[in-house]
Amino acid sequence: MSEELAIHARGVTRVYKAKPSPVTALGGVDLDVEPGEYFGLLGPNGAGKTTLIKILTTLLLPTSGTARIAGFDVVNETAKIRRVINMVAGGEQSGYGLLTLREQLWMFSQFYGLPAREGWRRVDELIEITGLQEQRDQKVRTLSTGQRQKLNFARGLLNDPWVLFLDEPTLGLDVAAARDLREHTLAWKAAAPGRTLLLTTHYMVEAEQLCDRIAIVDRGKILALGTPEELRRRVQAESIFRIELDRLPANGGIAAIGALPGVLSAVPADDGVADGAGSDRVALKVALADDSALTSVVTAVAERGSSLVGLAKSEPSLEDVFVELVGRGFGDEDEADPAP
Amino acid sequence: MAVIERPATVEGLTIPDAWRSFRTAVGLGWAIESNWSDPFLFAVYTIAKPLAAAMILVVMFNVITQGQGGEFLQFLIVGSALWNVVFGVMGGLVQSILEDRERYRMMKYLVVTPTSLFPILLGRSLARVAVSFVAVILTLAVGVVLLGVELRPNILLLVPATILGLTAVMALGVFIAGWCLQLRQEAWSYPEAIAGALYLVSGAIFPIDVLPTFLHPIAYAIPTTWWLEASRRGLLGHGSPGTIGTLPDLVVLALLVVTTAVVVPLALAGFAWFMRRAREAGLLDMTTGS
Repeated sequence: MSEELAIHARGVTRVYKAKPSPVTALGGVDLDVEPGEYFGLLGPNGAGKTTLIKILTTLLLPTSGTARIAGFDVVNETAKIRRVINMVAGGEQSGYGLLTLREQLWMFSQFYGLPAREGWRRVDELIEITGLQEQRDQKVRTLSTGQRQKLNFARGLLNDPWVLFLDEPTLGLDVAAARDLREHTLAWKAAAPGRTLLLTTHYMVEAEQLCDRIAIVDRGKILALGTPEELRRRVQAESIFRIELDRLPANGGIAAIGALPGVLSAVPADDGVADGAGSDRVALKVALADDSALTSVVTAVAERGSSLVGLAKSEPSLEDVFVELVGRGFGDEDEADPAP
Repeated sequence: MAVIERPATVEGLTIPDAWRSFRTAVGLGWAIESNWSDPFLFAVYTIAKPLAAAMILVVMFNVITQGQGGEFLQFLIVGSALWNVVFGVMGGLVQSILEDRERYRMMKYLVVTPTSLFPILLGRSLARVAVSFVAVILTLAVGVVLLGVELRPNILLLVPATILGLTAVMALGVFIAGWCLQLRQEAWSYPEAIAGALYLVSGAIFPIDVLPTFLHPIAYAIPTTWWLEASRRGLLGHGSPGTIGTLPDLVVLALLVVTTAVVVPLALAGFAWFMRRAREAGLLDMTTGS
């Protein structure tokens, strides 16, 4: 057993030679990913996510800085790193079109050093896991984009990698195929804890659904890093609830609610009365120091003769976090599209 | 539930890995090479093209010599036939590396496997080598049946010459493949140009004595010269016209061993350097377009 970090990067920079001037794709990235962690790099196109993955998967040398995978140096210990990692990239049409799906997977099982019989067993297992049984003997060139990406995903699991890199895995997939792929990823994690994932994506939902921690990246730098909850709290420290009541509370009304311990503020919600003209219903926007103060609010409302008819927590999205950090949204640089 | 942990020890590339990858790549190479949708086109490319090239040379030669150069004709036929291997090996290696990067876009996935790209590359190109040997045999057969070439095979010389020669040519091909990795996809035509240059200086169709003097050191320093000479002796029972033909068989074979022993490590080191340079420049998964 080893106590090594799954991924450890310090000051990783990458500068591409270009005319009229060099382009800095990564500007000194520091990153630690624990074994068993699902980690996301979230950022718009051109943020440097793929460049970082290329360096970590030994496809590209950093201009400066150090990076280690499972304790092995990405510059000089590539053969050892390649034993414990695998990579799946999305949005491409790669594959030996004249081989069948099963043949292509078997071929890679051999490149990963699996004995022939074990290779076939693993291939058939992955074909079943990814739901490609019907296409198993189909030539790769006849597969749809989604099927190709599932094949690509199966290839990425052939060696049961200790660290799996997914680079925009659902790019270009339809809704169902993307959902399938995310489910396969989560199932892979659930099957054996300890597996590490580094995902790059510009889909907020995908990052939130799959990742324990997320780094928001832009222009080659990590701007913020934490759990999705921690990131949200960067832009909204308090918990904000929208509370709908059947009538205004008596004995001090909204002001009394606002004076409760743990309540930072209580004001009528922007949309005011919730139920049209003539109704006594009222909506409040209540800011709490933390969620535990909600109990006293609900109790106080009841004591003042009102009944709770609706309750919703208002949370900022990861895009709100990005906007707060960068001053622009994803769509300002690249057409933002929802996760498929 | 099992918890996956990083193994305490992690091996680098092992010889069994490399061998397994090589065998698998041979299968892939054959699947690609034999996948001609039009068998007629396949026949034209693999048989008619080298045969036609050899026959053009023969006709030109006969016109110039007015049919009086019997011994030289044998020199020409054998050199021309064997050169198919050089074209096949160099072309095959370069085509493999460029196809994997540009057409199939699998280069990055191959690179991130624990096996080296080197055995995969060799295996991928072996089908082209096999096809080129078919062209050698056919050209020699036409020479024997239609042009009066007399073969007196000396297996003791031919077998080591073929093994050493193929090793040297593959080494040169690997070096060129590494170089082409630095270039755009049009680089597929480079090996033909390089093989064409070697064709002139290796004594494939001209005796080395007729080359300009400044080219002689180059001709004597490259293994293809000694491979062709050893193979001619192994096939025809005698050497080439000119100075080189006066050397004893063992000397020719020794020079082939020496030049091959120099070229192979240099080529492998060159390939490793090119691979590192490709990693440095981000070329391993680059699609250059045309």
